[in-house]
Amino acid sequence: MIAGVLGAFHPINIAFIMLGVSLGILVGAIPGMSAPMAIAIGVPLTYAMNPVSAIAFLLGVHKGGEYGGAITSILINTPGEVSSALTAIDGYPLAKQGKPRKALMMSLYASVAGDIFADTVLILSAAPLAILALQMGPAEILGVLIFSFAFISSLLGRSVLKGVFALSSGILIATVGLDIESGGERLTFGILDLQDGVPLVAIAIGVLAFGEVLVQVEEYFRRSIPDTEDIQIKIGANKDDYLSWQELKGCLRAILRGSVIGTGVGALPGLGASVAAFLAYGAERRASKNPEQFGTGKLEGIAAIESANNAVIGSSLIPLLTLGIPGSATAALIVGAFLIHGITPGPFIFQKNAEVVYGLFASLMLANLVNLVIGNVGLRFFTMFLAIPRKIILASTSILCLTGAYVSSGSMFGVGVMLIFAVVGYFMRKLQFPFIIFLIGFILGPMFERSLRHTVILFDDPMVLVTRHPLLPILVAMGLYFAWRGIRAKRSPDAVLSQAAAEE
Amino acid sequence: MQRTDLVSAGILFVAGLAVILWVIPTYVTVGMQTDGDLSPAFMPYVAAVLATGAAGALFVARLTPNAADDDEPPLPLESWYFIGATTLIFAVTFVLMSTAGYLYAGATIIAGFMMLARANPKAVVVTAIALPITLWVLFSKLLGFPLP
Repeated sequence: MIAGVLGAFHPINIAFIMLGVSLGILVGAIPGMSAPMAIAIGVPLTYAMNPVSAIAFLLGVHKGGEYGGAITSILINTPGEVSSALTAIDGYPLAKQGKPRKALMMSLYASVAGDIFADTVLILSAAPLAILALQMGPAEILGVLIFSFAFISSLLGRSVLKGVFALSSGILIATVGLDIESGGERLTFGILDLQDGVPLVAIAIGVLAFGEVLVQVEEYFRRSIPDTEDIQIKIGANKDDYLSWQELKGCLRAILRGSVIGTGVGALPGLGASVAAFLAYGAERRASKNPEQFGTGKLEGIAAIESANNAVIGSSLIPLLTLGIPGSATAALIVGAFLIHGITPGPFIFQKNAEVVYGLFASLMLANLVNLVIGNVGLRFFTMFLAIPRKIILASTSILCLTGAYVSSGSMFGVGVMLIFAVVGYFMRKLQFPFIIFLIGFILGPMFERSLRHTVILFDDPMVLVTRHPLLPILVAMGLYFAWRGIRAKRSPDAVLSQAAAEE
Repeated sequence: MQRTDLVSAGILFVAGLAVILWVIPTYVTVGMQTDGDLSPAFMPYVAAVLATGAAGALFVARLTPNAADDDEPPLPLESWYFIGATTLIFAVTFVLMSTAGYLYAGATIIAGFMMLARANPKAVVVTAIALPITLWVLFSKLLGFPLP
């Protein structure tokens, strides 16, 4: 454990963390770009790094990216992803009142606070949960996954049919390849490269990053948006534009509430930062004595959202490290980085790779400190990048996607998959099918099938299964309850907001 | 959106039926099976049936318009021109990267999308030349990832 922690303080590791956080803030600050896109492209870059630096780099990108998304939301009301869109609801009005630095500083401090809270919960709970997880068998894991799928569906509101289609399509695509149990070929169409399945990184780059690029380029093609966008809000123009200690103290409750919600959401497989942000914002509004002030520049609104969406980052590692189940699409990409370095996430990681795990924990805390310093000091520098013409940004992203797809697979097969799924991602966005849910189905599908088949093999008699593994029927019942509640509540504002989060 | 949903749901429903009735029976082979195990075709069938059922239900549900429907279709004619141009750019990029190398493919994809985005021609030329070279040097020479 000590060796792992000390390893995190190696200058090379710190340099990669700083690079990751800076890159994340930069990418998040560019309109239309998001941290998941950067991570999808960044995973292949970690081949040359050691395991701790690789994961720390990617998590640094993620942490920085969530704050970076707030920069573009607050200054030009153009978020890169849904969780940042909520920040704009109160952040942009506050910026227009001449207080952009106040909004940005609240966003930064809330983000770091959420990160520290979630990372602390992760560090304290991961090892004990891993011991518990060793007691869990395929039946319990099956229950967790059924609960996750049902819980996701409860958030889909009106789009439940599109969500079910997206989820099951993702699961179907994930069945492509050689069947692990029997060795038979499934849907490979005689293509040798498909025997290993459809590559995750290529599909993620295509759907997450390039699909978004296509949608934005099309807007220019159809002349739907102006050619130039000027930043009209200047930081530091108002001498009263700073965040006072009193104001920060007044938002501590909102930060704590957001952190708890974000940590809880992140620990459930299949959800993500956007869902956490929506739930935290809704909860803060309901708890407020002046809910009508939300949307006019309320600092508590910014605090709740930013603490929640950053808290997801650390807590999504809880199911990943303890059960081997990624807590979000981004965590699933980080699984890719683990596997590249020969490490299998799951309960045995604490026995076989303890040094890596504790190095990772220390790196997470270091990344929070780095995020605080770089976010504070480099704010003016990052906002300069908002002035780069978006067409050049989009072109740069397209070639980075091409490069990342080739590097991750080492062959043109990955490039082909990425290009095909870029078009799929484009259509999913245009036809309002939730592409994140599609990715979740693709990522969790194999795990679901494996646990289902092992459960069927081990237990002929359903009554024996239920009595020996009561957690399975309990989780299934809870999942069905949430799904029923979600479908019933589809007309409420919070359900509609959550639906937008699930659709992304 | 109603019309678009009906068309897309209809197409996806028919495609789903094709997957269930022809693709899975033809392209899923059974290897060595463990006693009591589910067939390798089980999960593909479950996923395909769920997807097809959802598409069919969406088609039926959207026969009735709802208040949220707006008049503007999400995929007007211009979008189809854009998709056609994108497909062409992708095909040329893929062939160039396989035959001529990364620099030509990179220049093509940058130039193609910047032109679709109606960028300034000078910016297109400069970016299409400078960016692929920069990335090639970064990845192939500095990071050690050889690009074609």
